[in-house]
Amino acid sequence: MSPATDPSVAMAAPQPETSPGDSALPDVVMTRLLHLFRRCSKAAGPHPLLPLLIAHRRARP
Amino acid sequence: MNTALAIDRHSLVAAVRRLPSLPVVVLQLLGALRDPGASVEDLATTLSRDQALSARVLQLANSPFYGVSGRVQGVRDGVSILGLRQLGSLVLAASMNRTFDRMRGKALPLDEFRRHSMACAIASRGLASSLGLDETAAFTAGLLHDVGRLVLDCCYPDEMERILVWARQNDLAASQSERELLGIDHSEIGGWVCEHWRFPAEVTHAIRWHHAPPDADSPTLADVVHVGDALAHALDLSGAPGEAVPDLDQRSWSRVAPVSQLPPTLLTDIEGEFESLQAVFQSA
Repeated sequence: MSPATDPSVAMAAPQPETSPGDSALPDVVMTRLLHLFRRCSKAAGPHPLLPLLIAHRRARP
Repeated sequence: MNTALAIDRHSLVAAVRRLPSLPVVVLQLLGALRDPGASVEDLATTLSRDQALSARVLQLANSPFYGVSGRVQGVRDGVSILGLRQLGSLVLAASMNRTFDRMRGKALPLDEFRRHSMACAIASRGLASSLGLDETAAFTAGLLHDVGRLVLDCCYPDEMERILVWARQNDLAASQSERELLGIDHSEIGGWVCEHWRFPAEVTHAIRWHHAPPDADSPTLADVVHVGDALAHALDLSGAPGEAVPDLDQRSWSRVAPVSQLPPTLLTDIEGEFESLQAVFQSA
């Protein structure tokens, strides 16, 4: 099974850090974000752009 | 299974040398745009030397986006309407699009390629601006960072098809698929293209090293394009179904965002500028 079709890859994508007051992103947006970051190495820790992207998507009207 | 492709470096270098030259006016414009003392008149004079590019500037300045449709008659007025910063982006993008069209192969989706190149150019310029680096050089390097992929598609379309299929089947980045099948990737080929086209050394260096920026004491153009490329992928602007964000080189990232303090509106600005440029091109 290639990583593209392996559901464990999406599950293994870096998880964003959230704070208690943060509003959740719609599932479809979060799923797409995790898919976009699917190739990023877990060893290096969360990809530095992921928190930026999450904050950016939250700020969108 | 032996999947390696039968293209050697010698053939690739020869293919790059056979590419058409870049119009002289593009390099002159690039020089003028990087000169802080250049005036609107200087740019209009330089532009006037290329009829096709002048016509394109007039067409863009007359697009409904600027609200003066049909009333801009001369290149000088066109330059004034567009403004120096926008003119630089539009002229470079328009002339590169012309060049990209001439290099069209059959495997690479050109529209996605153009969109990603434009997004990377805008992201790189935004980062360069916040770091005090040359914005025009950053835009140019971002626009051309993947030009090596076009060379492969144009000169070796069947091999490019196999590279893309291999990447899709294994969910690999294009550069990794190229390295696995060719033993070389598009960034090195892109560096050769820039030398062939006589681009400034720092633009050539940035394109050559955009996947693996060399270590440095301060942020470089290669760092800016490396992070700009990742930002363009992360913002999902290419429209490619298989879009994915590449890993960032940690040292490069720490040079670009030493305390993770990029301008708070950076991503919004990149999306806004991308949409504006797309709108101008679509309405012209």
